[in-house]
Amino acid sequence: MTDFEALKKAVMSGKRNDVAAIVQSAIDAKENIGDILDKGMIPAMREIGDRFSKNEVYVPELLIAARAMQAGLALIEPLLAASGRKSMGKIAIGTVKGDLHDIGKNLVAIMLKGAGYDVIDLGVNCDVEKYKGALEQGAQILACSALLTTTMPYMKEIVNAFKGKAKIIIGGAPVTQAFADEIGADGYSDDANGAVKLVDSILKSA
Amino acid sequence: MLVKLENHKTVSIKAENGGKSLAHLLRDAGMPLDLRCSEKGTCGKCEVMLESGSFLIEKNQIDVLPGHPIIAKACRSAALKDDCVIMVPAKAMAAGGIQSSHQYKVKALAINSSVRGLSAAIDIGTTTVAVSLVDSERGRIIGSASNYNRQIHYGDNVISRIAFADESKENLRTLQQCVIADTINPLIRDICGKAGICEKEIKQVSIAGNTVMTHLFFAISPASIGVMPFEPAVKVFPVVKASTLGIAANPDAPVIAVPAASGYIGGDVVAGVEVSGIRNNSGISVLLDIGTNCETVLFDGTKLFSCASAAGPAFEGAGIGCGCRAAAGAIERITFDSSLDFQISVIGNVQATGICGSAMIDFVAESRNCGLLNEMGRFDLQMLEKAGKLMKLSGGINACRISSGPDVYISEKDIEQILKAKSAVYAGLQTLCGTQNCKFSDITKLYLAGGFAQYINVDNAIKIGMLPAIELDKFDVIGNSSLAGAVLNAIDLDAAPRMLKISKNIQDIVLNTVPEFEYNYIDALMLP
Repeated sequence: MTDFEALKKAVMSGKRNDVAAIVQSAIDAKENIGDILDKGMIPAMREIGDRFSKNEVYVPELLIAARAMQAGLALIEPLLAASGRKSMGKIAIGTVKGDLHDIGKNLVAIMLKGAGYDVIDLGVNCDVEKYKGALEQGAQILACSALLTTTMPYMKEIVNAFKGKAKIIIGGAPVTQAFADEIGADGYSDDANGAVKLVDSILKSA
Repeated sequence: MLVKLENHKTVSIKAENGGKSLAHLLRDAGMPLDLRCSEKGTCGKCEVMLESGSFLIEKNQIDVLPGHPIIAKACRSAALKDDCVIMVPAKAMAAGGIQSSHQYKVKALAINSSVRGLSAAIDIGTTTVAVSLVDSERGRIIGSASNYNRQIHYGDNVISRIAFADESKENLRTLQQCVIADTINPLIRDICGKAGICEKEIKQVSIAGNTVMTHLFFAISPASIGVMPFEPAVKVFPVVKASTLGIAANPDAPVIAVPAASGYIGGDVVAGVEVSGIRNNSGISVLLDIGTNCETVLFDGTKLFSCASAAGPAFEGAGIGCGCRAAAGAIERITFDSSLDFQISVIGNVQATGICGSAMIDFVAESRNCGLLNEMGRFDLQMLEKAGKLMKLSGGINACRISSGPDVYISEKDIEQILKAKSAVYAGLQTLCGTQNCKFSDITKLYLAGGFAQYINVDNAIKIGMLPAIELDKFDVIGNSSLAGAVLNAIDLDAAPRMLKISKNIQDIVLNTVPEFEYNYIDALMLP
């Protein structure tokens, strides 16, 4: 029997070696992949995300927890397709053209995965073509990140290219709700947990 | 509109019926405010008191009755009528009284100049500009002065300046004028006035600055530095006459600039490499210039490598609740133990109104030492409560009161920002060392360049995991090495070819392309 409470605790306290060990032994014990996610990983990430939103946890702890989460997800991901688990939704995420700062983007990607979503990570310096490829793979939401005021304007081109075909959400240090409204993006969040909530609400209303 | 200032002066300016923000009206009237977030309304540093009259705040009309003042961001507010009254607190003014540095160490000055007469040596920093007037024949410094870079009215970091310059040719010229006509020329005239010298006697102008500042000085578009692959338009800048740039000097004086190595490793860093003498060392040595961007250079005994990491503006006070620049009223040093009886020293010996970067480092180091902070940067709330220092900010954020009247505090949210900044410095150096297969223990010398490093307690910076834990005697604080490089260029003919060679031989490593960087960064967020 897998101790899901221990797994949750290991994720939330950022113990990546413990997370990997628990997940690996669960896999070895033929535990249901969906259960590992639903009873361990997802509640842990949801809880730490909520605590972050309530100022009970800050970015350093969130990043460390996300890295621990990733250690577990890396073991689960190859087995997901065969498990027959139904995807909650598919999101493509990338850093826009001209920008290669990706620590924030990576955090959002892990938190989305941790929340149970199917995430296509497009990496850095993503132009319209890269997002187009993701759309063809069935992405319902295109998430764009920028750290620089100078690369942020490219988000408008993504919006122009895909408006109506997918929902476009944006974020990153210089990005604001006002900018999102100005370029006609479908959503904006100023932090990683907010991005998860944003995706939740967009896919719920879709 | 009537503008009241904290020194009991009042000024009357035209309101222009809400056509311009209060921040713009005040700037045009010669009272620039601190607009470090580029008027996005996010930093709150330009908050003023609206005392009476009709205003537009975030596009909503608000009528303020006398006796019921409200606080509003000047960048998001406008006065609708001329009978409006506002009060502008001193702390909202642009970088008033910034502590800036024109101190530096130069190993040995070889005098080998073709210039007969005086040279103006200038360090152009994103935040501050420093000028030294040099007798090129005798290698003597006649006078030095520094002030904040007036471009700050258009954003407090290089990226926001690039974005502004990129909007139009006119904006590019505006930024050039800000740094030359409004910043450099008054400094030159100030030094000349005090020394009884005519500015026409300045026969050479020598500058050093980061790559973006050097572009803006020459009104060359820095746009390409703002996007991948972050390549500058120019690395070796052409020599022009002072008159073409409008510099207060002899019209025929040549203007020379220290060349840049890359978009983020500018002439300021190249100058630092030259004046530190790092290339004379055997073994591994490092040059660190800590600012909003932290530039790191590693010399392995034969080759130079560099990287730049985004430390962010936390140490300059941005994004920190009570954060401020190192100006009068800023707490600059702090010591305490578990009794939390804070011993502070305040710049200008006045009432503390904020906390600057050097004291933030002290605070975190002392807190960790006495158990007030855990390794994740979270407070021991019982300890705070017992000492009567616990504050609850809006959103339930825990904070530690350092002084009161007005309250100066550090919150857990502030600590988060400090951890992110210190981690960028540490992880940048660690990653650069990693690419050359060396460890911190291999470092034989670590030069700390730039103004900020002069004011920090190095031991505390080690304790919070910002600087590597190596012996204190390996550190060498060299001050404003950018200005030192400009001085060197003014008096030693051989310095220019040496610095050109350095600029061409630094191998720049883009941290975000090194996979270990993210791991190192996350690891370094924690307190040792």
